[in-house]
Amino acid sequence: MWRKIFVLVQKDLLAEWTSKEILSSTVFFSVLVLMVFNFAFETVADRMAAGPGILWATFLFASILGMNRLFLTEREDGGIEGLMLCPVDRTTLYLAKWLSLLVILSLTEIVTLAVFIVFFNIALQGGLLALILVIVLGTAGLAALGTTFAAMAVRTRTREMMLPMLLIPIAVPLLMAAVKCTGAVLGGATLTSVGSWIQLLVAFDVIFLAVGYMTFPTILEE
Amino acid sequence: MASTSPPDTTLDSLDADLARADRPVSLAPSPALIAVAAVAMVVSLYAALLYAPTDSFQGNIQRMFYIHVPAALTMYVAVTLIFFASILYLQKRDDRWDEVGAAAAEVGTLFGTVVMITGPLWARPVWGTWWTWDARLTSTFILWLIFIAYLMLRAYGGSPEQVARYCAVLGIIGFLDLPIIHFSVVWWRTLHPQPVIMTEEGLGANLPGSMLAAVALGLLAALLLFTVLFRSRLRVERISRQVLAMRRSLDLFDGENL
Repeated sequence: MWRKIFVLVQKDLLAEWTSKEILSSTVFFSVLVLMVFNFAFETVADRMAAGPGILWATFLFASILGMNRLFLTEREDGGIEGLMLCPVDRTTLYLAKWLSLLVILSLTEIVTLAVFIVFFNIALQGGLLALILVIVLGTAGLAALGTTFAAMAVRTRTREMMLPMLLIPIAVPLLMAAVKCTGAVLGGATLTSVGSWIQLLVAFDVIFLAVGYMTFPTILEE
Repeated sequence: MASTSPPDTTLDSLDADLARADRPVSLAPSPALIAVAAVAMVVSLYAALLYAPTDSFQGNIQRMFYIHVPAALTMYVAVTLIFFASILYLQKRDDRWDEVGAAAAEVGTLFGTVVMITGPLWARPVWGTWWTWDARLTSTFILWLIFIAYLMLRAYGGSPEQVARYCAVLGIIGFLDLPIIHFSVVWWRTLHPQPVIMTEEGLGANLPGSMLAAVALGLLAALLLFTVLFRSRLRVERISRQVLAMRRSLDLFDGENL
């Protein structure tokens, strides 16, 4: 199974590498959103208090943009039929798509984080590893839901309009947890001080990865 | 005709359509049930407006409690119903479970909307604000949003069969999200104390007996009303699907799609 996942992820990333369709849009969009937030919060005295929220709102919006493309090209070019004919379980397909999305979103977030650090003049006091852990945990959950909902949304009539409406209400607790943890790390605190939030993030990831894994064959039925 | 689904031209689907068109519709809430619900609503109104004592701090506005809280609890009943109907639909692929999900979602949204309207009306005079991001308000609001998303998916999800599958998945995800939402909004508050504008409603223990009786009656009336509306909605859903099925099979006989 791992080999199959690897091949499928490789295919997605190779397609992305040649076209750079998703990454170029999500990265550019992130910078735009950060700039908008920067002006929106310019008059706020303690701008750092809004920092973690701004970072995760940007991640969320850019993610939605990326997720919408996850199945779109395959849908348009008929690649999805090829995938369905592959001798792989649909559940394996879910894990592969989730991993591809995780990689693409992480790459976007690396750039976003760098721009965020510059714009908001942030000094990471050795908390980089903790911050990366928080971002990976948060992104894993977003991608778990995103893979499920994007596969649904691409077949609905309203297409890309549908994804944020499904994703955002469900993802609210994940965003809260991620914002709290990011705030703690940027404020110089350790992750143990927000241990229960970390647990919530892990629980969210596990639950929705499992649900996505189990329901993906249902979604792909024609 | 219906542009949402590609025309089925196989005889299998014709058989399915005919079978669906033949299914009996015996879901209408019985007159007795409707009568009981109506009486319960009148009695609970009496209990809320006249029997229950006037709250010494909040005054008469507190009587909103007897509608607000039962409506909120009924919304949670609806989401639980959707959850089990979703699982059963995915297991058995029986349309009837999808119909249950559809009906429960619509009526549940109605009760949720009652909560969202009565809440601010009550909060404004008592807390001095229409809205506050208190834990219980936030979680109820998010659940209401999930209900709306579910209805959106039903409306724009594509073919009826696809809508059934997708809504079942969302019904499961939404329900599993509830405990996570609960913990997150509670912790968010406790870690970030705000000026206390809301005290615990104190359901049960520190509530006078007459108030408790009034809210219990309110809950009974709300659940009965939910049952009546739910069964009527279920019946409408089933009939509308039968009409669709009949039209599809007629189209086939006309040779339009053959």
